[in-house]
Amino acid sequence: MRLSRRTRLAGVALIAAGSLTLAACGGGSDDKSEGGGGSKSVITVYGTNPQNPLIPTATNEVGGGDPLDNLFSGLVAYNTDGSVDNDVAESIKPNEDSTVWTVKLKSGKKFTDGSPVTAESFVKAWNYGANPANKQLNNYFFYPIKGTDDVGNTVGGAKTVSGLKVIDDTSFSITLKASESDFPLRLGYSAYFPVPDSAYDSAGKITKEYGNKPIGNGPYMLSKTGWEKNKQISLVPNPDYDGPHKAKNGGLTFKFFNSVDSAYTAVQSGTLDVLDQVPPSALTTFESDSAVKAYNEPGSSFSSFTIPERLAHFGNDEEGRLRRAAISEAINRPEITEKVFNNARTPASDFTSPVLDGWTDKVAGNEVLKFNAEDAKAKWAQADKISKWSGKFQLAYNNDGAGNKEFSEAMANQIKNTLGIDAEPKAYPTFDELRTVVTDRSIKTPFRTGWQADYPSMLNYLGPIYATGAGSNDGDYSNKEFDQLIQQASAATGDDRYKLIGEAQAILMKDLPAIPLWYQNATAVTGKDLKGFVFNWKQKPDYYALSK
Amino acid sequence: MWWYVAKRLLQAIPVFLGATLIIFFLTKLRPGDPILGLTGNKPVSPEVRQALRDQFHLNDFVGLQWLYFLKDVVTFNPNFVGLDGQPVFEKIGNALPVTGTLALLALAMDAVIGIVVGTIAGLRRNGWFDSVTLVISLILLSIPIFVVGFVLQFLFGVKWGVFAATVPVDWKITDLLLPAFVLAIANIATTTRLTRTSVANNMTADHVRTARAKGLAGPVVIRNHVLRNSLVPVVTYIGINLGSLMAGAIITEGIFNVQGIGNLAFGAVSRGDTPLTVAVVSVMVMLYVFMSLIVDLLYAVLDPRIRYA
Repeated sequence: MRLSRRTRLAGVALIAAGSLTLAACGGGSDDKSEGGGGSKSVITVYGTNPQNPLIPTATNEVGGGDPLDNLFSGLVAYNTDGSVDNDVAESIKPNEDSTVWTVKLKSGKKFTDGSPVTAESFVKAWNYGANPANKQLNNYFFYPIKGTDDVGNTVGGAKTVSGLKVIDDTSFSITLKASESDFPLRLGYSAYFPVPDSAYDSAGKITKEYGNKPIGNGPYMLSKTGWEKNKQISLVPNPDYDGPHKAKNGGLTFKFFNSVDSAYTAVQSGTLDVLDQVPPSALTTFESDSAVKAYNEPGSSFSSFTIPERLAHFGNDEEGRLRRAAISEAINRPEITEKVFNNARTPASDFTSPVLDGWTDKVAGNEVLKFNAEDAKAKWAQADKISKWSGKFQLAYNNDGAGNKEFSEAMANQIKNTLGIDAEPKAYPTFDELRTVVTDRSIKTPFRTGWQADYPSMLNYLGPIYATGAGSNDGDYSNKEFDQLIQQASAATGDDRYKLIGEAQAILMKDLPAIPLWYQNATAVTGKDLKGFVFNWKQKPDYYALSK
Repeated sequence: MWWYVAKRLLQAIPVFLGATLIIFFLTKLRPGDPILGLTGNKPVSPEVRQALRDQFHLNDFVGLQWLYFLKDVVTFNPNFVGLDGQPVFEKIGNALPVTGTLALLALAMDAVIGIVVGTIAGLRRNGWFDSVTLVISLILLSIPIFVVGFVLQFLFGVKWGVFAATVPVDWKITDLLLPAFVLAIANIATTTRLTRTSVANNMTADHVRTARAKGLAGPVVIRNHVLRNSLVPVVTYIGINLGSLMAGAIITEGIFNVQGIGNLAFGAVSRGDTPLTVAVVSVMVMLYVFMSLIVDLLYAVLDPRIRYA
């Protein structure tokens, strides 16, 4: 057969184009029908692709944290209000000064591969997480335990943490650096989950396969399709689970979204059941949106901005304190939470969060957090007498967080108008750029900071951020009196404890190492037919209780 | 002609090397330590930070980092991971089908609507149809894609529920119709204008007058002598567009939650994940190269004056 040259050319082009089409059409046709929970329906929830392997000590962001919390159970389980009940632990008992804790495990608990949950499952996993050679991002959680340094790595790169001792198959002891009466409160956090023996390879490293398909002991386990990269993670109830968080639904599917906006639309159109946040674009409308059920209440994350002590005019002295107080009083918080955030933030009245036990809005000295233009001007003028102010007041923020630009601009304007000084926001394009200059201490301006507690205790908002030399003390604040109060509070219980915390906060109100701004509200939308949605202390739904 | 194709494919090699090198250096200009993005607000010990930096070769000279990257890509190393420890090729493999289908659908809409409307407008130049399409295409060109996207998503997806408002993970072609249309809108306008002008010009060309003088029937003249020649610039435009449709789908993919290439690139850039960024962008570059080859080959089909020896 003779083909004209032109026909042949067209043929080549067609084959080339065809191969492209075929390549494009391959894949994407998996069968998603998973049983597992009888007739109960599977709940689809918002998620993002985890940025770390799904290993308890490696996962430090919500994309991986939410699935992990459902795949594992720890020694204790958090109730909705933030109180704890023993879960895998039978008992967690302190010695008389709360420095040595002895954990006894319930017998008969199993991982979903059938192997038993033993003392070794915990101790080995924690040792692994604290050993810097394993590069685990959650090492920080081991810092209270003896044998670790300030950031929770084993001292001198040792393989094991000296404060952890296996007593027998079902019990082990934890020795702390200092007495801590509420230590068990921490133990429900994902960094403390147990890991089965099958996770480790012959060299003692947790394998990549395990990071992709973790085997846990929680209310759920991975479905057959499990974690599909950049698509979803699907979980089915663990039939052998008998803890306090028994699944009331037929499974959970964390669907990954590129943007919260598109997830909101998905809830509106009924293709997603739960979105545990609300995009800024919908904040004014979500509570009146008839297509969704809306939730809005004060939450557990705290926003502030930090003025490092090393900045000129802001040292830990008379002048610095006057200037910090003046700036704090120059900010009209309610105006910003209303105009910029549509009341999805609540103006702060302390350094912790209103969802916690012991919280009160009557902290001594917290009137410094109220807008007071006259007093702000007076304090600023007084500071000027000590040393004349010159230059610019800049506020550094990361531009990739929703609302950061708007509130920084508004705040700079308020400071400028009240104090009559040159104030302006300073943008860093991404979060990690801001964190780099903050961590390297090369930043020359105040910067925004925030804190989301890891476990429900007011001390978790104070010690790790403002104690001398603490890991997240970005402003290098140091006050002996404060350190001492925090230490005493850790060892105390009941009302004594809250009184000491109040005194510690009063010191912070005077020194203002960070200027409290607001508490982020917990907001969420769900489908109309979804039942059982309640925010827990972490601003997350109790996933196991959802049903429809 | 096969020699021509082989030559072009060989040329793709330096293009690939050059493109990856440039993109690699560009992503390195981005300040900030991606490791600190990974750790968030929590403190990280200097040992762990350095160990992680070593693992991703971040402490090496940039040129050397690029060579590490090349080694992984050329050998198709299945253990080649991004900063999140997840295999790069698997991620791209997951994202390509949906983006490819989306781009091809958009391209098909673009070609069919654009060429048909443009041809009719060009044949009746300055008639009422021509004027109306001019106005409509100007409007379409001037509305930003995210406005069209959100409005159509709200109307068709949420309000009337005709199409899926967001694209599910296990997508079907029908789920992609709405996003593809949004993606195609601006291009349809351009294709229409281009076809219309090209057809109108060719109507007055010498060879068309000659054909008419020979006594050929009207439709034959239009099909063989006007349309064919008019399509050369249009094919160039549409062909090159496949590349930009895949790369430029970031906004559309964001609105409709398509887990495709555009969003993979966007996420990788914002996290400072160099390996993934460069790999994704290289895929886009290679698609461009491939498409322009196909376009060049199509020229010869459309225009008898073009030959590849």
